[in-house]
Amino acid sequence: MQAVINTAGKSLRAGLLTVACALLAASPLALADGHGDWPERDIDFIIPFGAGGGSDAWARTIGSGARDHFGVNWNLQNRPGAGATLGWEYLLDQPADGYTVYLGSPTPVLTALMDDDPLVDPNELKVAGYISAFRSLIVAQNDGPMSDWESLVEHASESPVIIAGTSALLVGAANVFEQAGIEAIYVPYSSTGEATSDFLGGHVDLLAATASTALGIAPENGTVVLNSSDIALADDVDEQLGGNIPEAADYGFDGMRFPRPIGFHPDTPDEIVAEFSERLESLLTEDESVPAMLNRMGEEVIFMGYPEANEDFALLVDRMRGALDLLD
Amino acid sequence: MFQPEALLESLHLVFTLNTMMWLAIGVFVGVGLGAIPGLTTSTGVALMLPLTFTLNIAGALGLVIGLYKGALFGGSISAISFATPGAPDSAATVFDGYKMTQKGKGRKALLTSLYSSVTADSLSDVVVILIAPAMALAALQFGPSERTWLMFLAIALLGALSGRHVAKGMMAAAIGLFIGTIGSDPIAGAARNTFGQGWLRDGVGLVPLIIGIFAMSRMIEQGIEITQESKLGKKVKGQMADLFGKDQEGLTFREYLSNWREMGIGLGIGTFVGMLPGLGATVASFLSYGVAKRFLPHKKIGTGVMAGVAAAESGNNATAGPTLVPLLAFGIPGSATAALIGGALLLQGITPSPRMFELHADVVYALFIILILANVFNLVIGRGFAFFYAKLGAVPKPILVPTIMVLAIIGSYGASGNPYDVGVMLFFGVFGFAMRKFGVPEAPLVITFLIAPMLEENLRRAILISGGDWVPGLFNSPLSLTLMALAVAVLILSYRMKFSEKLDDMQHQEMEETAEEDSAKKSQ
Repeated sequence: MQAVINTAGKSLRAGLLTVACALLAASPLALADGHGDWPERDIDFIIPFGAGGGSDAWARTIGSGARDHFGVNWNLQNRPGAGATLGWEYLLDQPADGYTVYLGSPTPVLTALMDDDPLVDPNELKVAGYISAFRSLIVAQNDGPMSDWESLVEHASESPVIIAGTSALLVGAANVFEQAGIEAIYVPYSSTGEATSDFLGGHVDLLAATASTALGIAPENGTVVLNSSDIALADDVDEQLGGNIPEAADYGFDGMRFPRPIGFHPDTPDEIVAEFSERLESLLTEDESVPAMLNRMGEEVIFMGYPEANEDFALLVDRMRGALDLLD
Repeated sequence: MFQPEALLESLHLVFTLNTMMWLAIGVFVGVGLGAIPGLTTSTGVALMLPLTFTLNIAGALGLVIGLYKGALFGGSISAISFATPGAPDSAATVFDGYKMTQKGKGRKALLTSLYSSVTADSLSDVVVILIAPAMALAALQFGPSERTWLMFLAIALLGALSGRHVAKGMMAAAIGLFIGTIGSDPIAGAARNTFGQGWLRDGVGLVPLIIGIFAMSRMIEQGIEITQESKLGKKVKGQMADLFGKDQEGLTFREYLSNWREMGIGLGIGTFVGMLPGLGATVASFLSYGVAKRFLPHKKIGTGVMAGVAAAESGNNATAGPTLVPLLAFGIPGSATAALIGGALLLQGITPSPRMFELHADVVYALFIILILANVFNLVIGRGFAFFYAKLGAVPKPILVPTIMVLAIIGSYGASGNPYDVGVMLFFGVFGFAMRKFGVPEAPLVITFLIAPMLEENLRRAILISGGDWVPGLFNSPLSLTLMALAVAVLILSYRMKFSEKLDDMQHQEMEETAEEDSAKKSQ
């Protein structure tokens, strides 16, 4: 009887051990398939800007669909300040457990690159995905001497062109101008409204604008001479802007996009970041209400997942650093 | 081009129970939010924006425009009743409004604020409807160099707010100028004057600074009065307690009309400032107040009179309609609130652009009608709301002062959700209290803080555009030269006026001394 009990005990122990080993071995896979124990609780979602802006609107819109795709809610927290790096610094102070996420933009990267003593290193973000990206379009006056790319290059060979825009958009233009050997005076603005007003008033030659700003200008009051990014315009937008907008790649230039990254603490396990990325993609592409709402807001989902977005982000930081030197 | 069919369509859109309801809700919420310190107009519109997604276009416009106009007026309620501007737009209203409350004329001040706000707002809307495209084209003529001279002109005009002690006024202006440079370089983007504190990189926020300087400093002062049980404390308490008693003075039609010059100044300045991107209602309000004080000295603005309230409030409210001009004509959002209204249009599938008049004329007409209707709603709802809120002024001071202090803390935090702003507000509360004790005026500090960064940005852009040459950068158009000439003329005129004021004072002093000597001789 004792022998039977011993044998049964050994078998039970061996069985349990096998199950435990199998579970341990399968845990990363299980996590990647969405069956792991992450997320067990709500996720803190850091918006490094105040309520009411573009990033805030994005966060609130996609946050509304979080429960359906993550099984938990996102606690949206506006942590503005220090050129959007205060929220980033907060992220780095949290445990790397996958329960604090940061919604980035070009602004905090530029802040970190421009500061002598920045709060954060711009590479300290493990990017789970890009949810969107905007393009820097170069707009010229309709009846001016630079109404297409060739005449712009020709004009710039005689005297530097003057281009207005917000810092991030100017970085996009500077990236292409450098490759084309164009000399330019970059005039930074804190608001799109003032830059557009000065362009329409003829106080500057060119405007670096997003597609949505350009839609308010072209084709009546301006011509888009180049899409300086590496993302093509949507067909309907291209048509509304006058059609056949040339892209940086058409002239052999490496274009630059300005993404909205969502990222974690750099030490966060890859499995969690990958899992987040997968669920985020389904929220942005398969969900019925969220993409429709974003579309009605005039926003565009341009998704890039993990690890591609993380690798691209590192390259982007380097290129932005180079383009910023040109602005100086 | 006028489209009668589109106008009919817009009338069908606007005059529905649904639109009227959302317009009323917008104004109601706007006045309420506006009266809460820290909740600015743009924050209120931003909070309501997701709701517009579910509404039709007229309902959405009714909600956001109603809220916008309601909040612009609402800010004056707490400025007058508690010296706590609900938003920076109403900071200039504190000077005379709160003094009127202390004199037991709070009801008159609130009614002056409401009527002058609605009058200037309605008339500026009419101007917008009649000449929006021409206004937009005029606004485009203002480039960096023209804006630079415009700022110089504004500073010259606002010299009147430095008070009788020019040196103290200059000192306050210098402090404001320094605080305005804290943050990041507007062109190169590098941090400067941040004392090594990363959180100061975005600069000092306008909301915490205004709440600290205007509200917290006064509450510290009143708090000390309560603890010392001074006579003044008891006097003010008594007057605030009967703020809306039966014997409280209202506003007669004749009194309302007597402010026509101040409302005219506010209308002109507000309409002009509103259509230029980047300046905003706060600048318009201070400018209107400063110009009225300078050119209407017999009204004794600054001593707690209706004229001061009328000038400040008509100035900020007259920006409401014109702010939308660049948006409608060129798709340029002239202010944060205009950008949010543009967002509401986008949510309805309408892109603000020059084509709006052609493609969505019915929506443009509906927007114009709603702009006007919102003023009527503001008048009715604002009146009731103002009295309801101002009743809080009757709360005894030992309860009121700490309550306002808590509101000031919440307001400075709530404006952008930044905890450091609370510290900034408290610092400026103590700083403002010290300024008051030493008789240093607050206005020059706030004005240079507001205008100096804009001046620097535009000056540096103008020079950048001209390739580093100052002369072609700053004197590149007839408009620049005209504005410069105006600024110089105002400075000379101000100097002469100050000089003649001093002469008058000296003569007055001599006469008094002679009279004293005569009476002394007689008594001997």
